[in-house]
Amino acid sequence: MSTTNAPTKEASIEQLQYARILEKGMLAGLFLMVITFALYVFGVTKPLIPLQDISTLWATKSGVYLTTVENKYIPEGHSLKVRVHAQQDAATPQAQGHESRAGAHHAPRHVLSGWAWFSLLGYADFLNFLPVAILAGITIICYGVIIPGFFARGDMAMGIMAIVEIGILVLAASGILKVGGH
Amino acid sequence: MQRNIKKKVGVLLASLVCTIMLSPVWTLAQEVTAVAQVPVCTPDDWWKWPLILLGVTFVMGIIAVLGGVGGGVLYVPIMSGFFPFHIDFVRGTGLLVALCGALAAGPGLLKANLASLRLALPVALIASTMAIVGAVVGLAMPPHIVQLSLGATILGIVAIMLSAKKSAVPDVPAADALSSALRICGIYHDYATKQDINWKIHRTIPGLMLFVIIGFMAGMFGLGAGWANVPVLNLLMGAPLKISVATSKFLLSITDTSAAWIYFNQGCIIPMMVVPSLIGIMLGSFVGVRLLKVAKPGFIRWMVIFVLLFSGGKAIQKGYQEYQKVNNNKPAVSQQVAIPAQAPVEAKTHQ
Repeated sequence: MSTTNAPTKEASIEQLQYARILEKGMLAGLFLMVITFALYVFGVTKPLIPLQDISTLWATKSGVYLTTVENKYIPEGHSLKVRVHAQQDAATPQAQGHESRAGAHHAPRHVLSGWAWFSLLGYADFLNFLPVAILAGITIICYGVIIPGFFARGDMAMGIMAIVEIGILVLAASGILKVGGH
Repeated sequence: MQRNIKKKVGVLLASLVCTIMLSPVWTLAQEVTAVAQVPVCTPDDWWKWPLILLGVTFVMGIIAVLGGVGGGVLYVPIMSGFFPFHIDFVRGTGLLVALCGALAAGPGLLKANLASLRLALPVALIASTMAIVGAVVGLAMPPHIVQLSLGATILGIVAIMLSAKKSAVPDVPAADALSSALRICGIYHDYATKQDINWKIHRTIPGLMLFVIIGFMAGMFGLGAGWANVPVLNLLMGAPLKISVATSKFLLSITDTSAAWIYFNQGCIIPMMVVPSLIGIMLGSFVGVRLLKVAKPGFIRWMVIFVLLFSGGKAIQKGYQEYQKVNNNKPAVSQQVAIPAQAPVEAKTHQ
C-alpha cells in the first residue's frame, strides 16, 4: 500500500479504503436485495401494490404510476394518504365529491416521490427499496471515508473535489431536485 | 475438442438469441406498441415476468461480457424497444443494472490498482453532475423525443464501436499542467507482458469537457457510459487501455449513482423489474466470463452490433409512432393501459 504522494505499483491508502467500503456495501446491498425480493415474490410479506397489477402499471409513465399508487393503493389513514387528500383539496377545491381519474389530476408534486417510500417499508414491495438505496448510497460513504486522508497528506485538490462530489450526490439523493412532468 | 466446444458455444448463443427474438414476449411487446390488447401474460400470470426478465437479462449478461459492452447499453434499447415497459422505468432499471455491474467490479479493480481513484475523481465530479442534469431533462421530455434520441444515440454507439481504435499504451510525451497539478499518474503491473507500466495523461481539459456530454447522455438515457468513457480516457487523454477500461467501470459506480437517485426519487423503480434484471445480468456476467475463454470474440462483437442496430432502429420506429399519435391527438398507448380495466381508481371519498 502506498503511503506517499509519489505513484507506486500499489494502490494508495485512500483507494484501498474506498474499495473496502464499496465491497462491503455492495455485498450487503445485494444480499439484502435477494432476501427482500424473496419475501415479496413468495408472499411472505404483503405488498402495497398487488402482484397482479404490476404488469399493467409498468407500461404507464412514472407520473401516472405514482398517481395510481397514491390514489388507489395507499390505505386511508396513512400519513401519505392524508397528504394526497390535502394536495387534491388545495388543487381542486371545486371538484370535491366528484370522481377523479388517475392521471387526470396534476398534483404539484407527487406525494410518493423522494423518500416517501421510507414510510411504506412495512410493505414487501417498498421493502425492496431499502437495498436499492444502500447500493445507490454506498458511494457517498466511500467518499466520506477517504476525505480525511487526502487533507492529512496535503492533497487539498482531491479532498475538495471529494467534498463537492458528496454534496452533489447528497443533492441527488435528497429528492429536492424537481422534475417537470411530460 | 476445443473447436467442438467453440462450435457448440456459438450454436448455443445463436439459439438463445433466436429464442428471445421469437418468443411470445417479443410478440407482445411489438403488439403493445401498436394497440392495447389482450397480453400474452395476463395479470394473474404475474409470476412469469420475473422469470422472463431473469432469462432475458441472463442472456444479455453473457452477451454483454462477450461483446465487451456494459449491461445498460444492451438493457435500455432492448427493454424499451421490445418489451411493454415504459421508458421511464427502463431507464431507471438500466442505470441500476450498470451501477450494480460497476459496484461488483469496482473493489477488485481498485485493489489491483487498475482503476485509478485519482483519475476518476475529477472525471466523476463532472460526469455525475451532468448525469443529474441529464436525468432531470430526460424525465421532463416527452417519451417520443426520448425514444427518438435514444435510437439515434444507440446508432451512434454502433458507429463508435465500428470505428474506434484502441491503444494498449498510448504515447504521452508529457503530462499536461492540470494532470500534473492533480498528480493523475500511476504505475501498474501488466501480467501479460510482465512489465511495470508508468502512465500519465494529457489533454485533460478537452477530456473533461467531453465528460460533460457523456454524463448528460448517461443520465438522460440510463445507458451507463462505458462505450464513451473508454475511448475518451484511452484515445484522447492517453491512459493505458487497461487503466481506461478499469477506471471507466469504476467511474460508472459514481456517475450512475447520481442519475439513479433522480430516477429513484421520481418513482421510476419497480422492484419486480429491477431485482430479476440485476440478478439475471449478474449471473449472465459470471457465465460470460467463463465462456470468454472459448467464444469467438469477432462473432460476438458482430452479434452485439447487430442487436444494437436492431434496437436502435426499433427505438426510432417506436418514437416515430408515438410522435404520430401525439400529432393526431390520439391518447398514447401508455395512457390506454394506465388504468387496470378491472380496477378503476377509487373515487375520493373523504370530505
